[in-house]
Amino acid sequence: MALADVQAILARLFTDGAFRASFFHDPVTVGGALGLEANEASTLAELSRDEVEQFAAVIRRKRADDLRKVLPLTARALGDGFDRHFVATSVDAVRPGRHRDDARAMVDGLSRLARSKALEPPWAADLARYEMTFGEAMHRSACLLVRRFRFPVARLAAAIHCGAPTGDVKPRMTIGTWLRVPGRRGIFHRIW
Amino acid sequence: MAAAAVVEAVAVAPVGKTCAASFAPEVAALGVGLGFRPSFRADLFRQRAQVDFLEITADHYFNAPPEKLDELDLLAAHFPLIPHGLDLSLGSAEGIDPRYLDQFARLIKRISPPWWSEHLAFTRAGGVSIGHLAALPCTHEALDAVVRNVEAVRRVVDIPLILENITATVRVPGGVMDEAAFLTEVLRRTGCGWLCDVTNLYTNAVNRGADLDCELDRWPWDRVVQMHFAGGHWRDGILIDSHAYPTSPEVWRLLDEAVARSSVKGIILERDENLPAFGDLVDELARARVIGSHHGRWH
Repeated sequence: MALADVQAILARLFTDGAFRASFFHDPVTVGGALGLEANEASTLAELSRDEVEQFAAVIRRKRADDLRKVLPLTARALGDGFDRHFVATSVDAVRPGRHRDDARAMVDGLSRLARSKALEPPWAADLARYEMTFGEAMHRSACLLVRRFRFPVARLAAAIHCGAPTGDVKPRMTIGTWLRVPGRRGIFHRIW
Repeated sequence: MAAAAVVEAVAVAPVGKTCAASFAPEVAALGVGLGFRPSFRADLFRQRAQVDFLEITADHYFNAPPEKLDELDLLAAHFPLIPHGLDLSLGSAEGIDPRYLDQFARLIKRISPPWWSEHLAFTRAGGVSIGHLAALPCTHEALDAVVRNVEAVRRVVDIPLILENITATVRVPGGVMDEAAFLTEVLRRTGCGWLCDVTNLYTNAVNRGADLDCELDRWPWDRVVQMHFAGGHWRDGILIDSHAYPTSPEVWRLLDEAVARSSVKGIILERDENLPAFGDLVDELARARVIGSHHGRWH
């Protein structure tokens, strides 16, 4: 079995929970489906399932920690629920630059929950989208981004940043703009 | 030690399957420093006399916004910088990503470091980005892959490359040698130096139930250029290299032993999570500085 094949299988085992479960349930059949001979699959099956699960958990925690740095106020607002939402929304196989992919996946997941009125607090999806938009603007050399929110996200962000109570937040239509001009430092941001 | 240590000369070892040339960078010792994290930037500049050099995460400056590059230039104006990569995937059998290497090369050109570093690991395979450092099987085929990839890197970057040993949570079956032998052979054939992460050495030994003291003679101490140390924590019976706690007494003891055995040029404290007061980091640096002075690595 070529090293490239072994590494491709390992990469999936480390990042894809469904594949991991299926492989350790029947490594010879799964290995055979991937083109491995029975003895090659048996060699790979000597992997410790515990070690692979531990490593997969380390990777998930690392991604969640990285996502916390991209969406720090959302993480604070959701508290312990942040990790739960991350697990529910993150995709297994990731690409380089996964932080922004993970952020987008979480924003989409939270937005779906908010639309079905199953998100607590209900404004968390807007807050996550608000934070993510700063990151989007920061990583472009020039842009004009316009976003509409159901809740007063700037006030929420300021309160959470200062550790102040957010109180009972009522919906209020809010529009945000982010402008980045080529050759200029910083982002021009306005919110109404 | 003066922060602005000057590189006097660098000998780049030739590369090739039969190459046994040793990596012997005739560089001035840099001393002790920190893995740079933006969250302590202000404290760093307030106490910059306590920090001799910085290690920067190279990936953070790839395709970076101008504000991030301003930060890089500011750091470079005050500290020697060593770029440290996370995702070059030098152990990938499918080769390295030329775009990633090109970004790394541009960063190195911008800051002209005395050396740069990456991990002896793979992070990508079969179109999947693992998002973390995965251990290589200790096989001749993996060895050949690393040598091929380092040769490809050397065609683009002529600054000396040093390789870091990682924590190996997963032992890949089929290995024909142990980690010490694999690393020694990789360094011999590539001519690279060793970025010895003493915490990773300790963590792997503890998690394998091995007695590291009995194995120390087998590691390639003559190849050490730089070291990392950090504190980890226990979770579910496994020691995790989390960079989230103060350095343990066992790692301090190993650091002392490692410095005694090598001609280390610089020691970096890594701290990523659960950041303490900056003074606590400075205290750890001071202790590492004393270890280096005690063994005559710097004054």
